[in-house]
Amino acid sequence: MTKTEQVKAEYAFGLPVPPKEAFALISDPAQDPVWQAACVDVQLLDGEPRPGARYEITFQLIGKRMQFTVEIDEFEPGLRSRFHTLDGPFHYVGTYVYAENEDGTTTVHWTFEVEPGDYFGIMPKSLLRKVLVNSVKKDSGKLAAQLGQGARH
Amino acid sequence: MAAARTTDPMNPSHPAHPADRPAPVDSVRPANAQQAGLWFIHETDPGCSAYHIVFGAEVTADPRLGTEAGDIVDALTREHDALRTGFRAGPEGPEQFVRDTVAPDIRHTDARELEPRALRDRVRADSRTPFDLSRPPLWRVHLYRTAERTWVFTLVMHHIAADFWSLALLLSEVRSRLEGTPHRFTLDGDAFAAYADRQQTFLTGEKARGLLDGEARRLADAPPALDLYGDRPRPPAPSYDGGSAPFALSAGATEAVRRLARETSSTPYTALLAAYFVLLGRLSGQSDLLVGTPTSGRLNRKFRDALGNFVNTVVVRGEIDEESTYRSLLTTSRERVTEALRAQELPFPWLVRELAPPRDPSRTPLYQAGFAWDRLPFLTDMDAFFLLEPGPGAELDVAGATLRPYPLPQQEGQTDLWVEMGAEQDGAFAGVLRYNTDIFGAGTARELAATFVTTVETLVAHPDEPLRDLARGDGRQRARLTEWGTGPERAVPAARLPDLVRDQAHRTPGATALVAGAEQWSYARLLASVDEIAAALRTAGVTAGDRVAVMTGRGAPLVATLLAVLDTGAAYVPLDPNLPAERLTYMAEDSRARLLVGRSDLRDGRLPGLPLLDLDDLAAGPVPADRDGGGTDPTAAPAGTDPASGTADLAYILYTSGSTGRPKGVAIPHHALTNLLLAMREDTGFAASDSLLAVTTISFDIAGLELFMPLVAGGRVIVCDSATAADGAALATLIADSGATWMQATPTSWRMLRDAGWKGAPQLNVLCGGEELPLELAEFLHGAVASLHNVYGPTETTVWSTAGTVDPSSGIDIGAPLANTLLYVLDPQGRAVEPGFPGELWIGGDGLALGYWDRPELTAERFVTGLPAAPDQRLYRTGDRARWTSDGRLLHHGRLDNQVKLRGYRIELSEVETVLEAVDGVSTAVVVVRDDRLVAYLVAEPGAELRTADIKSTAGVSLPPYMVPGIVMVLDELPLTANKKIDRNRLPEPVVSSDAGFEKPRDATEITLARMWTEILDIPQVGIHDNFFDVGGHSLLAVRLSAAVLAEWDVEIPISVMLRQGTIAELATIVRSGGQETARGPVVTLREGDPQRRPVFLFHPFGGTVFCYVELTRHLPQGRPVLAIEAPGIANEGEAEISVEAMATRYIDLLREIQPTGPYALGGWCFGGVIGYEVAGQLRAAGEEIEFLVGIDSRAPIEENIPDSADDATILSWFARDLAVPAGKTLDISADHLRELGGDAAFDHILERAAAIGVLAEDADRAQILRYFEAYLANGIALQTYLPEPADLDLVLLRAAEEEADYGPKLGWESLIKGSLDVIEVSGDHNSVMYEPHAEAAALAIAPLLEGPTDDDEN
Repeated sequence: MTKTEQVKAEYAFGLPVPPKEAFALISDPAQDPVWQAACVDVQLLDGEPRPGARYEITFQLIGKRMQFTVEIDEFEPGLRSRFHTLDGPFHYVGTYVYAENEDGTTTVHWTFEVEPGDYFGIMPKSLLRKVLVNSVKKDSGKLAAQLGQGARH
Repeated sequence: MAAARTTDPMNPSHPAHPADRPAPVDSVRPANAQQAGLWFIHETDPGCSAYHIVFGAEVTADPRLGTEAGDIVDALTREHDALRTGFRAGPEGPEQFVRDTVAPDIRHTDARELEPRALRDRVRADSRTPFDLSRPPLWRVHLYRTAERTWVFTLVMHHIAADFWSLALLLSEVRSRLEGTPHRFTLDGDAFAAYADRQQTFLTGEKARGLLDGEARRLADAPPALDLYGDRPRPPAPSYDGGSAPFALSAGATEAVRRLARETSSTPYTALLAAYFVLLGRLSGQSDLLVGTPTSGRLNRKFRDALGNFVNTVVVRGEIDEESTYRSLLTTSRERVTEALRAQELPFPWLVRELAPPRDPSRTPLYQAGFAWDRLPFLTDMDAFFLLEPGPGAELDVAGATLRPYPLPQQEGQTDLWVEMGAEQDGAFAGVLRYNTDIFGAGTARELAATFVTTVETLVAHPDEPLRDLARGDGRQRARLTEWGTGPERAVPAARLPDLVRDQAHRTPGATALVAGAEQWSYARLLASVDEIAAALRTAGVTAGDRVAVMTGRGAPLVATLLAVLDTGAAYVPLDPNLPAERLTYMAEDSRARLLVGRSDLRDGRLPGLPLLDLDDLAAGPVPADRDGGGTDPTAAPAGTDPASGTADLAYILYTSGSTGRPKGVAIPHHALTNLLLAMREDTGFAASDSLLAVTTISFDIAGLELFMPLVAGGRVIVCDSATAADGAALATLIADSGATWMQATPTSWRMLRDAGWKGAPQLNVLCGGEELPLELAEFLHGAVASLHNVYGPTETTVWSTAGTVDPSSGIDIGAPLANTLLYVLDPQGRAVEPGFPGELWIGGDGLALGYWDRPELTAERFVTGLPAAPDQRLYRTGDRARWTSDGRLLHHGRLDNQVKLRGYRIELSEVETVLEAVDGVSTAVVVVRDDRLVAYLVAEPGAELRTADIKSTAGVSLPPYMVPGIVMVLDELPLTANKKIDRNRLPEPVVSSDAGFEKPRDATEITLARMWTEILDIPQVGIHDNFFDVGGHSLLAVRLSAAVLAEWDVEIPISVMLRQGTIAELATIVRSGGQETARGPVVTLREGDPQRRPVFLFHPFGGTVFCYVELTRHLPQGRPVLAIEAPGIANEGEAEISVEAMATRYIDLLREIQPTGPYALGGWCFGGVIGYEVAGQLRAAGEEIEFLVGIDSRAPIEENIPDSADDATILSWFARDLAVPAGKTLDISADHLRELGGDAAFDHILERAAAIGVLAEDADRAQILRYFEAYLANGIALQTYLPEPADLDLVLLRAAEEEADYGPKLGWESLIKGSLDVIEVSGDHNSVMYEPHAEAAALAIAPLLEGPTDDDEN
């Protein structure tokens, strides 16, 4: 895999709560360790999340512990959030887009664009994509279950 | 099978024949065994015409007769199934079908413009046009119009549909109908088909089984092959191309054959077969012989009048004892024939299949020589029409037409040799010898035919004398042997070598005699130096009859010293300073040398017992010997008493290696040396203008030719120093710079030059000798130098005994005898053997040594006078096998002691070496036998990388499997003797390479092939290097295998390829390279089992492959199909699943395609059991029943059991380790090291290491292994993230009792299994539990679960 190769992962999941509530859980970096199994720790560097605010986040994934400094680009409660790395073993950009369903619940569209370079060694990008999607899938499934009614697909 | 019909649908106006039946539909049935055999041959070689039966006649007739004949042919075609039958592949092997209607294939050619010779060529070529067996008719008629009322008529039939008897029946029938006379037979139209049914029934019966057992006993331990020495190397697969050589016995011999047959209550057939055995025994040197002989196969009266192929071949096993008489051999042969005929109802191809003799694709199975006795009980007035040389005047009137024989050769090349007799000509037996042109040339074949006639005539003339006393050939042949074996007679001058050089020096004193580096010596200077040294020697006390050791560097003084020693009347003993001290001491002491001449610096403290005459200080005289050195006093030793010692004629003693390990001295007289030099001068035409580059060490006798021959011709010797002679590039430069016109060297040295990039030299004439000249080297030299001469001779006959220019296109012979040299090829009794027969080469004449120095017993053993072939000649026994060809060329067939027998096969090691040396990248090959295995030692050409698997596979193209070395070792260089010959005794101990011996399949392709083999061959297991034909495969099974491969991968592997590349590893390579890149399903059939029974599904363990279940399946009880689910990512990129749940969902879809509903039998080893748990859970949730769930040392997917998280380098390290486990090997590569290498480099490192230890196929492609790793990694991720809830399931858990890692007595499953949890302890640890020897224990534990209901109505 060359350094310029990009892996784009996408997934949509349902949460049995209204968009603003979903946003508060998903787009707030401080909540990441709560619902993301791979997330080990988060430190907000600039206080409450908002565009331009930064945070430090640590993941443990596929046997690797990795720490990133991330800046929030967009932060529109109930609608969308976007963030990108400032520092870390590789670069990524993440987006959550929220849509309200007819029953008042929320569908979250997650996209994650990674430039993993050589960081994951020989791992094929198709596999990395699956790992990323599967993490979100599992985590969101659990979160949805915890929120009461289970995830909608 | 057929009902009557009244009209011909192709020609409604055609009158119906009473025998016509209603139109039958096509019928299909399995081919009978003989047909299947022929079909197989045709499949392997579709252009084969060896099985065409041909009849030819010249007909003069009214054209209207032709129309009438055509109608008769039409009618016969309708009446006879055999004339409308074809053959094609069926699921169980070839099948024959009978077309309802077939249009006769009648061809017309206007040949009126053709010359008779051209016509004959055309007819012969047409008769060989192959048939397409799937398109009947498998016969054709061809009419060549040669005049207004004259045609050449041919009938060609494929043997698969007709035999010789059928041909005669058909001719007879046509004739009867034309003449309107009742035929004596009523032809049976469909008996042919009935015969197949009858045969099939018979072969499944008790009688056939009993006969087969008898044949197995009778042919037990039969020799695997008849070794005939041919004119050409045997190709890897027979081409079925052949020729014919007619012959005839005399009337007297014919009568004697008949008389002896009567006297011994046998038949002329048996008498002639016995003579054939004698011939074959003598041609091959074998006493136990198998000869195929056809029988009509028409034992049942019903089949006597039927068209079709009923012929069967039986194998007669003969034994030749040269001590016995022909009469007793005849009696024995009669019994042997009777024994063979007892089983004549067993079709030969079926017999081969059942007996499964060791398969050698280069030869026909069981027998390679045949003897046929074709004698028809009818159509006797047409006898002459079936002879290849019918004689003039034979003709016959048929219905107003005149027929004359138009003989055409046919059925050639079926075997190495085939003698067909039975016909008579003028009251004498006549016949034809058919031969395969792969092996024999036409001249040799004619000679063999003549020799057979001579053999018969000799035997019948002396039926009561021991065979050994009877000549093989006749006076004509023996006379030619004398002519060929006698070199030109030339008077050898009494003058000795120093005198000849002195004469030359007087004639051309100023001419250059020697060049050594920058130094040039004229003849005058050389002579002066000789005189000076000789004077010093005489002063030192050297006199005639003494021996003087010479040890000096290579240069002009060396030549002068040798000549000086000879000038004193003493003999020189050349010592190479590079030899070990011990050997030098032995030579000096054994020869009782009086003095050492040389240079003190070369002496280097060695040979302390000898006085030294220092060439650098001749005036000082010899330095006395160091008496403390322990040497003997040579001057005190008396001369020996044997003829080799003490003679004043002795020129030199040359030491050669002896079988005892101590060198033996060969004592060469002046006369022999002079003869050699003058003979070679004459043979080469070496002139005063020539120069010879001398490269050979003086301890090798051929150096004598290099140093002296130019000097007796007035030419120049260019002395090459040792360092340059050993350096190919430097030597190449010297050849160019020196302008040498001649050079002599061994094939090893010439190859060294070639390997150094030498392209040849147009001015250089080459003498090549000392070792067998390989064809490929000859081809190189032939095109690269002015002339190439092969020279041959042992030291004992003075350098060379034969010489000849080489034309590689006609093969390599060893040339003709030199002047005053006699060659004899003799049998063990010392009698000359005629052309075509192998024998031992003996040499006589002026070149003979006096004998071995001081070894009278050895001399008496090797130098013999009074042999029957040459009672008055003293001959030297060379130990070389040789053979005269019919045109007087002498072929060398290796050393008699370089021949080995392995598993009954006679193997000429030099033959294997020649083939290996022809492999790209191989410079030199030496083959030896160690521990009953062939071991090849190879040296690569510069820059070439040799891979043993490639070498074996390439060698396998030219050699039968038993001749392909099992071990191939690549060396930087081969150990050489001082004479630059390969020193076989110093070859390193062989190391068994990883690909030798039994190895398990390594990937999905190999696993599937292995499964096919075990099913088709009905054997429990097979290694990837086992040859299909060695483990019980035969032609028909190969057809099935080929069909299975086609079905599985859509790859066609021709059977001919399978014969040559018949291992799983090789076939897998073909499949991989020829397979289409279509996606392969993840379900691997480990055992097809009974399709009516529920399959057992086994899920892949960690890693995704399912090779691990091969052993387990082998031990599971027969019956239920066993299917394994491979991770989809194994076969297709990007398909790897990284969650157990997703895997299970996907695998359930696969299961349901095979078994739509439960109950399901599920299981798996390691991670496979975890997948099984999830699959069972999802199936249960879908309302399905689970018959059983087995986990084989599967650890429960619970928090405590999940391994510490591992990164890609760690998983890559595990991947490497687990790759090696199935092969029983270890591949530990640290994760740190892999992390350091990073990405692709880390992965490539693993591939290299795995290939090096034979874990991966060398051609396994990277992308495939990367997919393996992807699946492995995905499994690792899945395992780390799978933490299921407990489920209401039962589990049978096999726990590997020897596993050290402790995961609790139930491996944690008590937390997840709500139903019953049975734990069974089995042998092995977690990794070994699935492999031998533990897999059997696991299978035993699972077996009771498989005994479930066989009634699958519920499915």
